[in-house]
Amino acid sequence: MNRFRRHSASGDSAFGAPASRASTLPQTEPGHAGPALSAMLDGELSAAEEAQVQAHLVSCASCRSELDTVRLVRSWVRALPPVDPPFGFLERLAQPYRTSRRRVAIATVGAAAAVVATVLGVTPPGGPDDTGPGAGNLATATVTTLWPSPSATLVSARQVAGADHLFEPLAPATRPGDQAP
Amino acid sequence: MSNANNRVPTWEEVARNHGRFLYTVAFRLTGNDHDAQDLVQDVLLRVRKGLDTYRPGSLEGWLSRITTNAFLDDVRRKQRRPLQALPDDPERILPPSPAPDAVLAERALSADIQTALTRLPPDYRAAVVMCDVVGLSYQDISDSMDVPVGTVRSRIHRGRALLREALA
Repeated sequence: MNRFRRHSASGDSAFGAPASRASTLPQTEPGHAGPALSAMLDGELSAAEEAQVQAHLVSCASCRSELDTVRLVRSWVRALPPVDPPFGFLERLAQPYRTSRRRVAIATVGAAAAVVATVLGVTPPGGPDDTGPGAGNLATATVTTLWPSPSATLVSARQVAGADHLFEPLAPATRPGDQAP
Repeated sequence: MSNANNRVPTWEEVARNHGRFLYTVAFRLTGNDHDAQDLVQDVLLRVRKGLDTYRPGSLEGWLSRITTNAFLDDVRRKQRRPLQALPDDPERILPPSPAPDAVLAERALSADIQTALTRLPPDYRAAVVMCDVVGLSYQDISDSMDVPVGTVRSRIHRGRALLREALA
């Protein structure tokens, strides 16, 4: 039995191969349309195959009845409405991704400070993997390490890294004369 | 601004713009909210990993293929567990507030159809959902499930016959 025949577009008989596995499901009776009926409803038959099925339906009440059944069930499933996820589900999925972006930004600043410290001949205490509040400490620790060396030029690692604005308090600082936003 | 089919979307865009679509397909495949959420999370993980190989085209077709594979992979992992009909979800059947009879009838019918869908063998269920919920062609379903088109046709037809028996 040739289970994996070419599909219908090749011009094979619309009444395809019998069911490919033993099961308790109803088998297509020889000479009846069977799965070709669904294929026809789904627009998956060639013109020639559809003509074959239509010709068969003229004289076969059982296939006409089966076609009506399949058409009905198909319309029920197609009419099912969309399903909304529980409130907040998609938002919760997106949340951790946004948080991790912020951590990457802080880690980048920490890495920049570490590179600066290396160029100045100082071994930074932490690696570029320091994230979060530790990054601020990395910059501060770099300055501290520079301090004991009398010949080193005291440079603010924060300033060299150019990330000074990231160490500002989160709330906008108000100065005398500032307009309220 | 929106040219979704002409470039690779970001993962967040997929979650935001196609989340409801993904959840609908996942719910129709699994039959309950708990498993649908697990399936959507699984799908989005696969999407995130696969976005760099995605070639712009039919995004929902691509997402459907991932969803089908994720669903069937999970089924195969659990295949020693006997297939049980999942209990009806009362939140889905009973409306939260009084509704006109026609609306109640429609909701009850949807719940009945979903129950019958959930009782289909997974391969038949996936084929019917891909065809009638997502609207994929037999060729696309064949590519998604990695079976010949004739098998797709057979599964859809028998799946529909089983639904009719369950809903008679």
